[in-house]
Amino acid sequence: MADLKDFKPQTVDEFLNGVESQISADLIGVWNTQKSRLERNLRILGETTIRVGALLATEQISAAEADAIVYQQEQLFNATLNHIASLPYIAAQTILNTIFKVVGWVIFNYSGVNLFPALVTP
Amino acid sequence: MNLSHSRSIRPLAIALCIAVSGCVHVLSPYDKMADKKLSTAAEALLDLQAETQLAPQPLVNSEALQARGVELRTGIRVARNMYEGSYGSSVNEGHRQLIVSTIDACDNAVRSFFEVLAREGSISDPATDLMLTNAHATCLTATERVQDGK
Repeated sequence: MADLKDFKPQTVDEFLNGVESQISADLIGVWNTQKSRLERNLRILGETTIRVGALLATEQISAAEADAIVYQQEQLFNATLNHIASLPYIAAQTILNTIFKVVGWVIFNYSGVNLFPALVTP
Repeated sequence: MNLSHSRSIRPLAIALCIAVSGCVHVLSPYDKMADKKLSTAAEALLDLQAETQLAPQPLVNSEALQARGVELRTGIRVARNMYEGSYGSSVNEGHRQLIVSTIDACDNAVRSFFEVLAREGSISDPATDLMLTNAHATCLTATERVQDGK
C-alpha cells in the first residue's frame, strides 16, 4: 500500500490510481469486478476532492463548506454501493472507508485541514 | 374468411408486443409522478445555481431561500413516499431499495446545502457551485433509477 502522506494528485486519473493502490489484497478481486460500476462516481469524487483541496488551501471555501461538500459525495457513494447487490456489506463498508481515507489525505495534503480524523492520522 | 390466416396474425401480434415491451419500460402513474417531482427538483437546483452565478455577492441565508429549500425537499419526499407506501410493495424489493436510497441521497444533498446556508449565514460562490452541482447530479441519478421501471 502506497504512503498517502505526500499524495497530492493533480488529475482525476492520479486520484483513481491512488485509490486503487489502497485497496487491500483480500478485496482486490471484488474491486476489479466492481470498479467499472463505480467509475462514474469515482471520477466525480476525484474531481470534487481536488477542487475542494485547492479551494480550501486558498481559503475560498470554509472547512464547514468543504465538510458539507464531501459529505454529499459520501452519501451518493453510499447509495451507489448499496445498489450493488452482489457486494457484501463488510466489503462495501471497507471500500467506502478506503476511498474516503484517500479523499481525506488529499484534502489534508492540499490544505492542512483534516476532515476525517478517524481515517487520516498525520 | 380464411381462418388459418387470422390464426397466424395473433401469435405475430403477441410476438411484436413482447418485442416492443422488452425495449420500452412501461412506467406506472406513480413512477411518472415520482419522475416529475425529481425532475422538477433537479431543475429548481439548476435555477438556483444560475441565480447565484449572476448575483454579485455570496448567497446569504434568508427566509425566502429556506422556503425554496423546503418546497424543493417536499417534492423529493413525495417521490420517496410513493415507494414506501402500498405502491412500493408492488415493486421488486431490490429495485425499490435502490430507488429509495438514491432519492435519499438526493434529499440529503439538498438538505446539507440548506443546512450549511442556515448554520453559516452565507455560503461562498465556489461552495454553492459545488454543492448544487452535486445535488443536481444526485437528483438526476434518482430520476434515472425511477425511469428504469419495475
